[in-house]
Amino acid sequence: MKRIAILFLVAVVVVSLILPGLAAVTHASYHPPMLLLDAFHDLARASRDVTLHDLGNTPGGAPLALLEIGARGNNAPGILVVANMTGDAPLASEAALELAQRLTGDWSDAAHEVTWYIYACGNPDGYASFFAPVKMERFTNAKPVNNDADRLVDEDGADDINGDSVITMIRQRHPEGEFVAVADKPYMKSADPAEGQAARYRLFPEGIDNDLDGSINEDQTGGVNPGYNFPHNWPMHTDNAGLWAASETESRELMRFAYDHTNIAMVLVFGRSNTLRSVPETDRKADLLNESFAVPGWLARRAGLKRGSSMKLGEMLTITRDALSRPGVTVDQLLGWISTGAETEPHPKDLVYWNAIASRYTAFLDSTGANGDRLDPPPPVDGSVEEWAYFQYGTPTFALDFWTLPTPDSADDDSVDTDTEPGYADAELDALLAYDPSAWVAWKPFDHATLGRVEIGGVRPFATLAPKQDEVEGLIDTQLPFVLELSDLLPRVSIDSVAVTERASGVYELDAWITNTGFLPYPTWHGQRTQRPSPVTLTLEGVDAASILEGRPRHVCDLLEGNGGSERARWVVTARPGSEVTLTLWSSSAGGEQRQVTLKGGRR
Amino acid sequence: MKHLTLTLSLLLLLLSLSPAHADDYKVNLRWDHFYDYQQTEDALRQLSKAYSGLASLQSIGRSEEGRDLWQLTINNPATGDDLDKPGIYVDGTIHGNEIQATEVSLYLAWYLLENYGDIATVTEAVDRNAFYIVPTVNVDSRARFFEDASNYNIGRSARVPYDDDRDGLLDEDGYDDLDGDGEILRMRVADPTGPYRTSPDDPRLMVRRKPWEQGEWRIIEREGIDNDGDGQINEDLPGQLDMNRNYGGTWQPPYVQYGAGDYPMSAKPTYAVGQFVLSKPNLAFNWAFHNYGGLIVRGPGSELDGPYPPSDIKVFDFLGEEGEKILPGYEYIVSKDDLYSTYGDFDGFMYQTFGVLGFVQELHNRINDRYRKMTDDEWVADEDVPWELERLRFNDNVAQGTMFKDWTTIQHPQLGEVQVGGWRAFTTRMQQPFQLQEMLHRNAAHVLFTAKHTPEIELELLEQTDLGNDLTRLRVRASNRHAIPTLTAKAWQHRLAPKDLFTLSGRGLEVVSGGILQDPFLDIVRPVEHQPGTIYTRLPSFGHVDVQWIVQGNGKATVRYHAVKAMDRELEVRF
Repeated sequence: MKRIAILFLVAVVVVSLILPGLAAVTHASYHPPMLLLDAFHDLARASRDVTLHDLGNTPGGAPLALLEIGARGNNAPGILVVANMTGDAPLASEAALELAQRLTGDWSDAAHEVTWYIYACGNPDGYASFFAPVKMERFTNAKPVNNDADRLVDEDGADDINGDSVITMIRQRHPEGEFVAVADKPYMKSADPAEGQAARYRLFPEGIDNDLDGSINEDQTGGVNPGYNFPHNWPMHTDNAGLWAASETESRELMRFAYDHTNIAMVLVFGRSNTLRSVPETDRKADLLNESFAVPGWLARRAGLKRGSSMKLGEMLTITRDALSRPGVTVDQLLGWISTGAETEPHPKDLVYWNAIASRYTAFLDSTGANGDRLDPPPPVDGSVEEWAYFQYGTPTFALDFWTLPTPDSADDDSVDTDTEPGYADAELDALLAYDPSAWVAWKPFDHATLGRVEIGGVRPFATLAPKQDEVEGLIDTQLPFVLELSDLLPRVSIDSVAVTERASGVYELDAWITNTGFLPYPTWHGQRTQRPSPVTLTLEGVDAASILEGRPRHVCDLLEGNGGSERARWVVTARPGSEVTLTLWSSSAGGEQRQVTLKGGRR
Repeated sequence: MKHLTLTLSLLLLLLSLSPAHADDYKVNLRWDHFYDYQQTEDALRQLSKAYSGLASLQSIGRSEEGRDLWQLTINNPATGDDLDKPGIYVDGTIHGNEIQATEVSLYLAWYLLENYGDIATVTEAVDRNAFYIVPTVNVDSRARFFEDASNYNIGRSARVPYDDDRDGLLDEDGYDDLDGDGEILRMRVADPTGPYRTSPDDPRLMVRRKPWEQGEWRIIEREGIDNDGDGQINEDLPGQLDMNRNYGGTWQPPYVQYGAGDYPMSAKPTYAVGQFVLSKPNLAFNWAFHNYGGLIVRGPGSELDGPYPPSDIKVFDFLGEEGEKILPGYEYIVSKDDLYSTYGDFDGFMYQTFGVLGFVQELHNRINDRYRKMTDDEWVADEDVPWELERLRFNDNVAQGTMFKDWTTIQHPQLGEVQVGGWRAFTTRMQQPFQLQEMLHRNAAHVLFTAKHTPEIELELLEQTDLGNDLTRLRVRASNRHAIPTLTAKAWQHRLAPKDLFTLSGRGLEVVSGGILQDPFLDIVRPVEHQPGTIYTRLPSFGHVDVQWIVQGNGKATVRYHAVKAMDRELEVRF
């Protein structure tokens, strides 16, 4: 019996070594970046439809891994899932890991028609702070940055001076203090001179003045958050944004991967913002032709116009085509030439689809009971991956956050509507205290090396950023399935119908209707502006160019609306009766097909 | 015999004192010649080998087509490490068709090395500065300018495939050398409704016909066919990415800035250059040589750059206006105001990212091809000058007919009979070989002028007063007599480079007070509360900073001024 038991144990060990992927990942504890990577390795070993891509290493040496799941690789439309790019969204990484696991298990059908690319943690260096022995909210990667432009780099970071393993805040009574205590609340608020508040405090992050320059924690370890390092609205000259957009391996290699995988049709961002709960608004005009713009100097010269004049874009287009003798100049070309700058709001025609999807999202959450009252998530940050994906990469992009603090019942009555502790909104602190009173570390006296008598306390790091561990499974279970609904909305193009008419003996008219049966347009309206992705083309093959009397071998569709948006392609060709031609419908990320057509038929 | 020996000795002495002759050069390079990729590499290798004590060559990366990006550093290690000296960065030919920008870089390197020890200003520059030279950034397109059938306007971009005509295909309809002469010239077809007719002044030229005149010609395009059957000729050329729109800083996406690339530094050469300049915090000035306009260009390049700080503009103005004198016919201009808005260009990147000043220099001007008696100003200003005609005269009587190819009739596969001819590849945007050397020298001289004006620190003890109680008051001045500050206002404003350190230290001494001396007459000092022995500051253009320290103790104090972009200086004070 003992021998059988030993053999059984050995068998279990061997099987677990051979098939590590069979062991289901749970969310009983958050996965640090290395365990996320291990889980991805396990999934990749367990299935030939799963590939792990190496995107390099972070400045801290952490591997950057992107998991591909799909039976058809680049031949199927792709969905890129980017999680925890800012390093401050633990639940996002767990959701991405869960998605990968389900797509290789219960949801494997969803990986037959779509290829999934999952970047479970875009900022491993920053996210590592969540698992550090001393916890603090700092999400930059390990790239050395001389924040204070002295001669030392990363020389004045946080210090756990009271030894409680969390970096909180220091408050010091001081004549120059800007904060006062709030009655019945542990937190502080900005002093109001009109109220004559006398007991004033200065607030500092927990630490000492390591380099004795008079500042505390002004040059902390590491320096760039890759989640602020994407090139749309990149915040130049801002702390933590990097020396230039795309300066960081974490962001640059992700973009390189995305541009190399032209089959990507949608980007989903798991992080702190939620663009289906808070759909962005827009004042952008759908039709710019009636909007007035300044005429650039060079065009004024060429067209004989007064310098500094302005006119409607439609008029300017006509004048430009005439002045340059280039009738093919497009609106988008002209917009580029007159330097209207980058768009910062979604195209209104895209918002029609976006709002409809947001309604579906709300209905879905209602159906799963996951739509409880909670604080609004923050909007996307400047230089974020989600804004880059929509505004530059040109794909439909949706950001999901999965959790914010629940709204307390008494939020409206008790919250203090002035600036509170730096980095937090008052409503957020009230919500936090209601959600988890232990999330506040009570102020305790401390003798500081340079400040003297102070108190240390404040929000426990990550308390506002991660739900309690026992809520993680439920939050993912009730929300993640909406990702599958999103994957059903991808544009899908096909040849709807082909008609052949004999115009004269051996002369045929060929009519083909191209249609988009998917929900989303192809490309998005803004994607048409960014010229991404490549347009749908329908190519006529089987007749030489000289035999095409009307039309060109390649028909290009600029934009196909969703839900049946169609376009007609038409050719007139000379050919032997009964000869065959081939129509090839191609798109980079919305499918395609080939159809043989026999040139015969009755006369019109 | 004695006389003969004396005469010979004197002759030898005279020869040794006279400027170097061609025979004396270790590396004999021709300056009436355009160097192709291999020749450029060979020249750089020869220079670095012949002057291994002063020059070092490395590849800083590879291009899309696998060519090395060569980078030559010129520095005299006997006078200090390169990173301890003010650095000058020079590159050329980021646009592959702007080929003579490579020769400027090459000439500068050659001139510095061959004349080190012979010409005092050159010796001083090599001893005091570090020169970082990347002769060619767009190695692929410049190489192809020589290897492929080409033209002066062909090859601006990097060799990154692009779908110009939005038909799903990449680079499928480029130029075709229809007459097999190794060049891509213009193509015209006889058409009585066409917009052009033969010029009455010269049958090689065409002029626009008046509405009531009979047409004669239609200009189709440059040499090529409709490769993809879409009814257009040459509409999807190789590449599109303009590397001088691909740098960081104010980079904008391609729908805003044509040729920007997918993201900043997405091209291999721009990434390599970005990483290289990042490794040289000592850079004090940068040069990017281009080839058309006869211009000395400074930023801002667009409204996104915001206004430049006035003190930085004064430095630009000083160096730019002096450049107009070194380079007669060149005009010093502001990119955004006098040209057009651009985003992601190199000089803007250097200024916004590192706070380093720089010029874009456009080498060729149409006045180089003039053939008439007129002043430079007349030529530049007069819009009515029939300059095509004048250039033809220049071609005929000066360049001996080497610049223009007469129209010849060929059979086009789609258009039938067409004529091919016009300005040849090595014209229009570039000087003719016999004109090259002076242009190269004057541009190199402008680089040397800025090198001369990189910051140099001088320290001066202004006052040493015994205050009693073992206390001494020291007042010290740090000066920069040159135009370029140790840190630009931009760098200071956005903490783009480490601040300068003005320190006092000494065994047994304690600095009890210190600060910037704002007014020595009224004794106004801006104190430094923490660590008063260390004062963070910068030295402005042609300016100084005075500090005051109150020191307790006796002995020797060392006052040190440490700047990242200038050589450090020390001063010893005993009390």
